[in-house]
Amino acid sequence: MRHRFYQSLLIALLLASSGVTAQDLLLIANVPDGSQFSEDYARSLLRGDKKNWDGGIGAQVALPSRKSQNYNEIAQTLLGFSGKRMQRLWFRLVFSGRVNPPTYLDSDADIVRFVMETEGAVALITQSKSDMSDLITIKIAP
Amino acid sequence: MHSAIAPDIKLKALRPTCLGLLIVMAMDLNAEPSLEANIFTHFEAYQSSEDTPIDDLKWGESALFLTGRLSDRWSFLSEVSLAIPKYRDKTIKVERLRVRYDLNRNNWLILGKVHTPVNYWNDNFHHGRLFFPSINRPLSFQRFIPIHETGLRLAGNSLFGTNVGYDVMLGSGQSNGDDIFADGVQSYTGTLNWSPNNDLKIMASYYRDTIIDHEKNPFHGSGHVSPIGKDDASRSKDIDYELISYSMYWRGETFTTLTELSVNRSNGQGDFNEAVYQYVGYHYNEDITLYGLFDLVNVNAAEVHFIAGRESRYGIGIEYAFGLNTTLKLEVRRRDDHRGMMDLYNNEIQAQISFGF
Repeated sequence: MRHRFYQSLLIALLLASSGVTAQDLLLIANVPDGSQFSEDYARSLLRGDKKNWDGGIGAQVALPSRKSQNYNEIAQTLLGFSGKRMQRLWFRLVFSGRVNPPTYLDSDADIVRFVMETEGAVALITQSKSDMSDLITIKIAP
Repeated sequence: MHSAIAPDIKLKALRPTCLGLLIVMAMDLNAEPSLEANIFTHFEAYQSSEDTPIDDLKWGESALFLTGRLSDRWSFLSEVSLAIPKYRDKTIKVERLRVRYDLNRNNWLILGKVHTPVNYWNDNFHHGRLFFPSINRPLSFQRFIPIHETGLRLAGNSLFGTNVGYDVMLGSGQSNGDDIFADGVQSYTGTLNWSPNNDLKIMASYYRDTIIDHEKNPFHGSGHVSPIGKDDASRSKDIDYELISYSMYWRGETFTTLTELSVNRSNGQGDFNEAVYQYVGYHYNEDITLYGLFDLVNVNAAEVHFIAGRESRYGIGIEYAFGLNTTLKLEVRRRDDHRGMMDLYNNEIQAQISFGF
């Protein structure tokens, strides 16, 4: 029993020291050729503050849908408020013509697939997936 | 009819230029096109202490909103509104129809019919009541604000790498409606704004137009022509119109404020007319907002185009958001109207439920 306790404690310490926590998010982007990438700029695309990559190529933002488990977590990390308010913000921005309509997807797997297939796509996910080698990935602290 | 007052700029060449842009656009349609559609509508209930022409119950303006991408750099936006014949002459109206070409990351070109970028309200949420902070548009929208323009607009959001944005628009003018550059360039809009993020925007603009044959061609909509034009020589001729506007929008965790200030004058003479709209909202929680509003328009007696007098509206309201697509607003207001021969002191209560899908 005591052995199992020490084993669990050791695993927890290893995870903490490696920086991997449940709240960490991954920013993934399929950056168009010729475009500069920076974390700040990618965040501004995800917040709807900006619309395009370099050269005027439109960013395609993928956001968690209301069915997604990460709906509120991603909104909180990105904007500091709830998923519902995030969707209201994006609805208003699309209506004003300031941004491209975002794509709402139900799971990390769907988002990764969308970003892989769509040049200019950018998104936040909660867990790394295999075969994301073609994408830029950055760990985002909450 | 064109008097010497009107700028003698007949840039008819702009029409082939616009056609050329559309041809370039057609050649660039190489990406997968996309289309998004939204529908907005609302219903209102109204009661007041005095008799007014406003209905007790009303199905308000509805709008079909389409956005989409035509290629990597080209996108379009269209907004068509519908209102039953009782409330306006045209049942169906094209409110916006424009294509946008993104020159690079921070600058773009727009061609077509747009909301004139003179203030925050008009640039952000003109027809979708779901997004309005209060039930009604500011009073100045019924009179002074050139809501739509048809023309060419160059805009950006990062001048010299800062958060300063700009808009420069060459328009066909209020008198020509949707007929693009029918008399060349008649209106000019210049706007500067500062917006570090979507929660804060400060903007200032200058707008200038030539109102052609102003006695017969009211600004927008009917009933705006001054019946008390002081200067007979100014009747039935072209006059200049100038509008200077300032807006500030701020959304915080607890409060949202929107300030719309503007001054204007026609015929380049006399004192400026004034318009003030102030909204302050307190977010009780994510779905409930309590707010106060103050709205004032004052037209000086020397004005030659708009009816002189003072009109104001102030009160308190509550907004409840049901999910993402529905809001209910309730306002209790005082409205005073002393335009022309009117002398109205009115207490009003109004409710509005608005939808967007």
